[in-house]
Amino acid sequence: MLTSGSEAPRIKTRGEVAVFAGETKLNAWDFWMRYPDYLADELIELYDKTGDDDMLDRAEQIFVDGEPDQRRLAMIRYRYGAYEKHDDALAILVSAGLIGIGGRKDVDRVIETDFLIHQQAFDLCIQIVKDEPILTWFRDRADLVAMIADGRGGSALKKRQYERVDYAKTLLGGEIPSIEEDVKKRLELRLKRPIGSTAA
Amino acid sequence: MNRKSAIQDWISAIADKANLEVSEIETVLARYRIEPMPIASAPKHLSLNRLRFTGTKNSGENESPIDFNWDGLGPGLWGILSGENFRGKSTIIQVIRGCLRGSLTQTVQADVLGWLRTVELDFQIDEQDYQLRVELGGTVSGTLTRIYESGRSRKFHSFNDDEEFETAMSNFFMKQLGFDKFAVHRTQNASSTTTLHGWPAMCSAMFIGTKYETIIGELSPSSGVPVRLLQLFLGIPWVTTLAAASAAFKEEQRKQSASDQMHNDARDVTERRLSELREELADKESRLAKTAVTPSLHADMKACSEALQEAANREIAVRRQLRQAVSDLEDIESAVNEDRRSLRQHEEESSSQTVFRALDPRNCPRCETVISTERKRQEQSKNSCAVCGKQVHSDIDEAEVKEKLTKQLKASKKAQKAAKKRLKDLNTELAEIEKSIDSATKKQSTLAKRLARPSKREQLLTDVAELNARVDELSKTVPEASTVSTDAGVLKVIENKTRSRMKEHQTRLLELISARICEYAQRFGMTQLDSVALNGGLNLSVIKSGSPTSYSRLTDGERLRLKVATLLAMIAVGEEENVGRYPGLLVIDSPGAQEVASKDLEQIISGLAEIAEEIDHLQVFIGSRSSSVIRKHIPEKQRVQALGSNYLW
Repeated sequence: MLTSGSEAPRIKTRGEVAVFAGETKLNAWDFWMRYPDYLADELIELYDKTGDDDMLDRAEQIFVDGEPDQRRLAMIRYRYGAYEKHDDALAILVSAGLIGIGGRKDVDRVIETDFLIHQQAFDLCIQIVKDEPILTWFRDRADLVAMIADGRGGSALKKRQYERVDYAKTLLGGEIPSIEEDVKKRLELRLKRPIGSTAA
Repeated sequence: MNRKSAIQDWISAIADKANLEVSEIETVLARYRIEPMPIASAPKHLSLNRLRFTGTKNSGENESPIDFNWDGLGPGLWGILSGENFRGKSTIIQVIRGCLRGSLTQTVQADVLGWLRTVELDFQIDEQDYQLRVELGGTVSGTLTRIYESGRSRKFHSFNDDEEFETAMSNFFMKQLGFDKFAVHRTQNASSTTTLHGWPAMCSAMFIGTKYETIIGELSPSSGVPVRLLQLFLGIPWVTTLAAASAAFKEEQRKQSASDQMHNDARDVTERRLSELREELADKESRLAKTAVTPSLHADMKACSEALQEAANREIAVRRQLRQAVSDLEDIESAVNEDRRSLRQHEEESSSQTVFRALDPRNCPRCETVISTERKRQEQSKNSCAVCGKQVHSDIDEAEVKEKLTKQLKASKKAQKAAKKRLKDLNTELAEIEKSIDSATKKQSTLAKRLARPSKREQLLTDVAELNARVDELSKTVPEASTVSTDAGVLKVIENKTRSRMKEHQTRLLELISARICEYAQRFGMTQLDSVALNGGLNLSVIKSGSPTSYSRLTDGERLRLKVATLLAMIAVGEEENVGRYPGLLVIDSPGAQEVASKDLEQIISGLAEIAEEIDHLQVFIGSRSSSVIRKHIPEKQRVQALGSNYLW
């Protein structure tokens, strides 16, 4: 996710080759990683905008693979968006020398944390797909989220995610609900056939 | 046999024949007013005592008064004689006849009638004296008076015109002589007529004129009157009883016939209706027989309802099972998901661990201080973490866990497959049940409709039952033969028994009369006559010179002899047997005018003179040209005569 969503640094500070800009963006990406139904919903939106059938195929594959059941990892909504502490995971990456924690500071308060991606991280990702192909899904999914995010910043993504009515309806502090059935219907309407069936 | 025993004998015979009690027969006789008349009324005796008529004879310029008065008449032979014809004989006879008949204007020739002014006839019937007084001249008027021995008189009838005169005389003689009017029924061509005859016909029998066609009276035999006159004059016992019985029987037959007709009509109507109903019944029964005997609709309906109920119960059960199966499948699928997820997570975690374990910690994740070589060496030698110093390697066998999770997933997938199949089976079963419920519901609806309207067969059953009831009811109302017939049966017996008695008497009387006719005719000069036989039909069989012949083939002289002989025989036998109604008066007119030889007449008169002596109460007038023979047989005091070319009046 960090490598897929990173951009070239404007100024190299501590030997990083790329930067993932901000924790808000990380949370927004994480949400789409963990909620395949919401991601499929975005793919449908994208299809509606572009008419690209590939978007529908990708959305369909999500359901065919049973991802909403298999892959969803519930997030707790905190304040205005999907939010979860990533400190433990990030610590491992930092310890292994894969990333560094950067930050933009406004006066005395860190307003945004950037993640500084080292070359070793890019190398590792390539190595992982080779050694442990089962983990390829994570890379592909991160790439898909990158496509959906389309370079948008954390605030824009957060706003987009709020647009989802069902999402907004979710009670403060509760789990973000599944919109699987709703999205399936929207998808089938566009496929003009049941999910998983052979195209006529 | 006296009257009483004759009646008892008659009633017993009827009762035996009719198989009824005597009292029942008497009831019937009383009901129909049939009076047993076993003894004929004794003959009455009419005889003339005096005849007088007055007037004015007017022949051209000559007018001369008429006053003919012939008094001192009585039983015996009386002659009205003249030297030539047309000297007044016939007028005297015509006046007598006109008085007795009550019709002078039709009896007396017109010119003479115009001369007459008064006619008086004194006569007696069995010692009772009567006087007839008639005034003529334009109209006819007069009186009939009974004269008693004491000299008193009582006016019986008075009359003021021809019609009243005729009615008065008719009623008088019919009553006095015991006659009834008689009906003669004749069928001519296609039509039948009934004529009622009375006194004029009977009266005419007492006058023998110049018509010899019939033995009795002047009317032709074809009129039917002569036969009835014979029966009346014979006065045979039982005749009136027979007539009453016959009339009653015929009336009952008519009633019976009418009643039978009515009864038959009623029965026909009923039987026609019955036959129609039976036809209809047979038709419906045959149609009913053709109708297949299907199980009752109600049974069908019950079975259908039961099937429906059972299906509904099954549906409930299957739906419950289905819900359970869906729930089971959901559980199993979530278990499958869980197992798959666990396996995948295990695999991913295992891979991740491999990745991360391969990573060499270079610095502290917290402060990013570089880890010393000393710490790395310790980790390799002592398995203590270079970062935190804890044991690094896990003893957990990753492959073993994976295998366990894989088996677990495989088992749950198998369960899922079974649950899906069960769900599919249940859905199939449910569909079948729904289908059967659907068809049962449709059938039920159809049956309900059929139940609502009676089936054809049920309608037929109802119709047949109804028709049977109607036939039964109507059969009871078929009229039995009418019961009016019993009287007709008894009346028939009465008629038969009476007729047989009458016949018995009639046969005997006719035999006696026949013998007497023969005897008298022989005394009148028919010496060649062997025998005659008069039957009830007034046919006179004649055997003359050994050869049979008949009255109609005889000469006028012979027929005149037989006519006179017959009346005299009836009178004579009647007197001897005390039977008969012939009044004992005979008037014979001018036989000489006919082709009857004077010898014939003389023979008749000589016979008559003798016979008149033999029969009491017989009074015979004979009008004839005078002859010595006649004058020899009729004493002078018993005759009026105009000798030469003189007139009698």
